[in-house]
Amino acid sequence: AAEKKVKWKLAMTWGPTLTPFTTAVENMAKMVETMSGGDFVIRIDAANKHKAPFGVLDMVKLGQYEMAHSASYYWKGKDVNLLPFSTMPFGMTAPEQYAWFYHGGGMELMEKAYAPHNMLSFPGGNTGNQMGGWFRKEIKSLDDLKGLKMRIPGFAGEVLAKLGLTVTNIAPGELYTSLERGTIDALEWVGPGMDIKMGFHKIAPYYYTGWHEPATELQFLVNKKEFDKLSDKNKEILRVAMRLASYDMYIENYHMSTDAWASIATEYPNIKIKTFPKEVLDAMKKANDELLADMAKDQPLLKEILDSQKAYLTKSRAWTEMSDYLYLKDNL
Amino acid sequence: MIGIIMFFVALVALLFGFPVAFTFGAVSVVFGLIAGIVEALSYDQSVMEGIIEGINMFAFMPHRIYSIMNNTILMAVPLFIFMGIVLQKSRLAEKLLESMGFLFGELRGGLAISTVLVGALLAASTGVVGASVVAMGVISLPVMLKYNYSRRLATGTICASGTLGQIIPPSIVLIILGDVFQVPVGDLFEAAVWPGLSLVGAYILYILIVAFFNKDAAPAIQIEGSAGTKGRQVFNALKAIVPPLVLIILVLGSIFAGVATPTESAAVGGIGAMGLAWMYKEFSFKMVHEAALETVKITAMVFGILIGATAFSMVFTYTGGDAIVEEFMMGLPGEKWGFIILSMLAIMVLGFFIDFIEISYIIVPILVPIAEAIGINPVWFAILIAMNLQTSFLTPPFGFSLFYLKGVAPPEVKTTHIYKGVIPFISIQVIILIILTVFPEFFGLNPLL
Amino acid sequence: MLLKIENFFNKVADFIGHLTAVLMVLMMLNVFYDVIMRYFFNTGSIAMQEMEWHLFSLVILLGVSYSLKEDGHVRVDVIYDRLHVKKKAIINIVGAFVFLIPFSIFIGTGSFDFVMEAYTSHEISGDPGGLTHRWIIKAFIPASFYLLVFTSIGFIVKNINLYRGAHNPHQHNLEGEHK
Ligand code: NA
Ligand code: NA
Repeated sequence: AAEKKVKWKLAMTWGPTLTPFTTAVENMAKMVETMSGGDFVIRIDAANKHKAPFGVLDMVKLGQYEMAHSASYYWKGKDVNLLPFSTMPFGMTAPEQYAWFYHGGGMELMEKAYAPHNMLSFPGGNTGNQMGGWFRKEIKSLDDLKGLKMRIPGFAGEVLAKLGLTVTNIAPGELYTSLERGTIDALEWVGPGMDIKMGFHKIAPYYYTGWHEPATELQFLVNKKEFDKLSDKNKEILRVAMRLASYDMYIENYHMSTDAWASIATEYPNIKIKTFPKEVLDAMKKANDELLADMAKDQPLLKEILDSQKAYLTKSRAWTEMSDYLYLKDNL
Repeated sequence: MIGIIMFFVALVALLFGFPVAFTFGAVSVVFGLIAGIVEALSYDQSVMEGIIEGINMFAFMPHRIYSIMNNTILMAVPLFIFMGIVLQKSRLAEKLLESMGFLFGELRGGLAISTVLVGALLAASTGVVGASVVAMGVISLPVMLKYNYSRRLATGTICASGTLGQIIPPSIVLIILGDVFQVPVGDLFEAAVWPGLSLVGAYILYILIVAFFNKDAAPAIQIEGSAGTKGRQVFNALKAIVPPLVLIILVLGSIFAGVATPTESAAVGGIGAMGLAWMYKEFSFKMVHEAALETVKITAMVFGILIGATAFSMVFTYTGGDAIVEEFMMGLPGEKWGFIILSMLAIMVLGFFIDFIEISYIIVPILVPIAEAIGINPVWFAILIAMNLQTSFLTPPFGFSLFYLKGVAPPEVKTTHIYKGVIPFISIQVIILIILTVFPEFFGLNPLL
Repeated sequence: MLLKIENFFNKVADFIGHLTAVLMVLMMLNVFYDVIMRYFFNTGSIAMQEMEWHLFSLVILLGVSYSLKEDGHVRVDVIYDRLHVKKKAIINIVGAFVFLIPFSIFIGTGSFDFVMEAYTSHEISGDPGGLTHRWIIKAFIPASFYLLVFTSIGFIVKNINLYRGAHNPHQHNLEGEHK
C-alpha cells in the first residue's frame, strides 16, 4: 500500500525577509521534499503568520507545529539548561563549536537537555562572530561604561549589568529614535549587514567588536513524538537536510558579512571600529565567569554542559592558535 | 477560496450590529470549524475529527494575544486616550481648540484646521492609529459638534488627521517597510516628512474650500461672553492656547531631548495633563478615576477589535487565504509604469480588506525584487506604499480608524456619517499619492536608484 | 428576580472596571517612573520595565469585560440603530450565544496548555533581573475570557430584561453613549 504523504509545519522565529536565516529553512524544506520524492513536505510559517516569534518552543512542544527554526538561548527563561547551545560570551568560534557539537559530546548533551521537553534540537546555521554593538561615545575605561544606558538582551546584558550598565528594554520599532535622541547610549543588534539596514551607524558611530556572541548557532527544534512517527528513511532525510542546510547557511552568512563589511569599509568611512580596552574585557570575563558559576551552582546538567564546553574550548583553542591564529598573525 | 468567502460573510455579519470585535471572532470560529471539517474529510476522517481540528486552531490564540500584550508600543493607546480624556474633562482641549478656531477669526473651518494641526503634532509622537484617532475623537469631536460642524466634515477630519501618525514619523508602517525593503528606517523617516506634511497642507486646503463654499459645514467661532476689545479677546485666546500647547510640546520635547521613547512620551503627556488640570483647579481624584474608567472602556474597545481581527487573520492565513493573494501579485507586469500603477492599485484594493501588516509582509516582499530589477529607488517606492497603506485605515468597510472613531462618538454620529466623511479625505490621499508618483522631486525624493 | 440577577452581574463588572482603572493609572505612573529613573538617575530595573506591559496586559484583558457591560464595544449601526429595542435585544442575546460565548470558550480552553507549559517549566523572564512567575500573567488570558463568558451571561440577562420591557434602556447606557 502507498504510504500516506507526510505534511509538516515549521514555525520560524524570524520574519519572512530575514535572510539568510529564512534561506536555511527554505533550503532544508526543499531538500526534504526532493529527497523524499515529494512524500515528505514541510510548510514554513514565518513570524508574521503565527505572530509568536518567541512562542515557537511552546508550539512545538505542544505539537501545534512539528518543527521550528529559532535559537536555543531564547529559552533561558524557560529552562536555563538550554542557554549554552547557541553561543556563550568568550566561548568557542564557529568551527570549534561545530567540532564540539558533532565530536565533542555537544549533540548528546543537547539531546539530554531537550529530553524533558520531549523535543529534539539540531544545529540550524551559524551567524559567526556578532559585533559588540553601537555606541554614541567611545569607551576608554571601565568608568565610561558605568551608568551607560544600553539595549542588550539576555545573558550578555546580565554580564554588562554587573559592570554597572543600565540595561534597558526598548521595542525594536523604537530603537532608532531612542538611540538617535540619546534615550539610550548604545545598543547591540546583530551584525554588520543587518545593523547597517537599521541605520545605526548614522547616529552612533562607534562600532565595537564582539565578545558576547562569538558563534551564534541557530536551531531546528523538532517535536520528538512526531519525529518518532517518521519512517527511518524520512528521519534520515530530515537529519541530512537540516545538517546540510545549516552548513549552507553558515557559508552564506559568511559571504553576506564579507560583502557587508566590504561595503561598510568603502561606503561608510565614518564608522569607527573599536575594540574594548583590556581593562573592560577583563572585567567582562570576570563577571561572566562569576555569573556562570553562580548559575550552575544548583544546576548539575548546566554545569555538565558548561564544563564540557570549557574543556573542549581549551583543547580546540590550542589548535586554533597554532593554525588559524598564527597563520593570520604571520601573514597580516 | 474559504478566505474570500470569509470577508463577505464578515461584511454581512457586521451589519447585524453586534459588536465588531466579537463579530470578527465569531466569523473566525465558524470558518475555523469549516476549514477543520473540510480538511478532515479530505483525509477520510470524520466530521467530529474535523471539528476538533478546527477548535485546536484556537490554541494558537493565546500566543497571538500574548504578542499583543508584550508589544510595548501599543501602550501608547491607553496612555494617549487617558491624556485626551483628562484634557477633555478639564475642558482644556475645548479651550485650546476654541481659541485656535477663534484666532482664525471670521475664517470658517478654523476648528477643523486646528484639529488637523493637533493631529499632526500627535502623529509626531506615536505611530499607533488606535491611539491617535481615539485621542483626537475624544478631544475634538465634541467641540466640533458643539459648534454645529457638519458631522461628515468633523468625523472625516478626525479620522484623517488621526491616521497621519502612520506617515509622519515615528510610524509602524515605515518601520515594517524598512524591514521588508531592507533600507534604513532612518532614511524612510526622513523621506516621509514632506509627503506627510503635504497631506496636512492638503487637508487644510480642503477644509478651507469646503468652509468657503458651504456656510453651514464649518461655522466660524465666536466665543460667547468674551468681553473687551478685539485685541483683548485675541490675547485671551492666546493665553488659553499656550498651556495645552506646552503640554503637546512637552510630549514631543521629551522624545527629542532623549528623555523618553515615543511610547513613554504618552505617559509624560498623561501626567502632564493631570498637572495642567491641577493648575487650572480642575484636578480631583474623582476626575482622574472617571478618566481612567473611561480610558479602560475605550482601550478595551480598541483591543477587542485587535483581538477579534487577529483571530480573523489567523483563520484567513491558516486556510490559505494569503496564498490566493500572493498568486495574484506574482502576475504583475515587469515594465516600470505598468508595474507601479498596478501594484499601487492592488495594494489599495487589498487595503479595503487586509490589514497593513499582512500587506507589508505578504505582498510587498513579492514587489521588492521586481522593483529592484526595474531600478526603482526602494526609499521612494516604500514611501509610495506607506502613503497607500495609511489610506487603508480609512477605507470602508474594514478601516480600523472608522471603527475606533465610531467607538468614541456620541450616538447621533452614525456609521454612515463617518463612512461618507472620510471619502473626500481618501480622495485627497489618492491625489497626493499620484503627485508623489509622478513628481517625486517635489518631495525631495529620487525615483531611481 | 431577573433584575436582581442583572444587578449582581453589573456589580461584578463594575468592580472589574474600577480595579482596571486603578491598574491603568498604575501603569502610567510605572512608565513615568521608569523614564525619570533612567534619565535623571541613570538606573533602571528590567523588572519595573516589564511591569509596564504586565499592567498594560491586565488593562486590556480585564477591560474587555467591563466594556461589554458598559456597551462600549463599537457596533456598525447602519441597520441596528433603526431597530426597535426588542429587536436589538434579540440581536444581543443571539449574538452573545452564537458570537461571543463560543469564541471566548475556544480561546479560554485553548489557552490552558499554554499556561500550564509556563507553570510547569517555571518560566521567568529571559532578561537580567526580569520578572519571574510568567504563568501568572499568561493565566490572565484564559481567566479574562472565562470572565467574558461570565459577563456575557449578565449581558444576556440584561437584554432579556430589555426584551421584557422591564426597564428603560436609557438608564443602562445601551445606546453606547459617552457621558
Ligand atoms: Na544579537
Ligand atoms: Na507617527
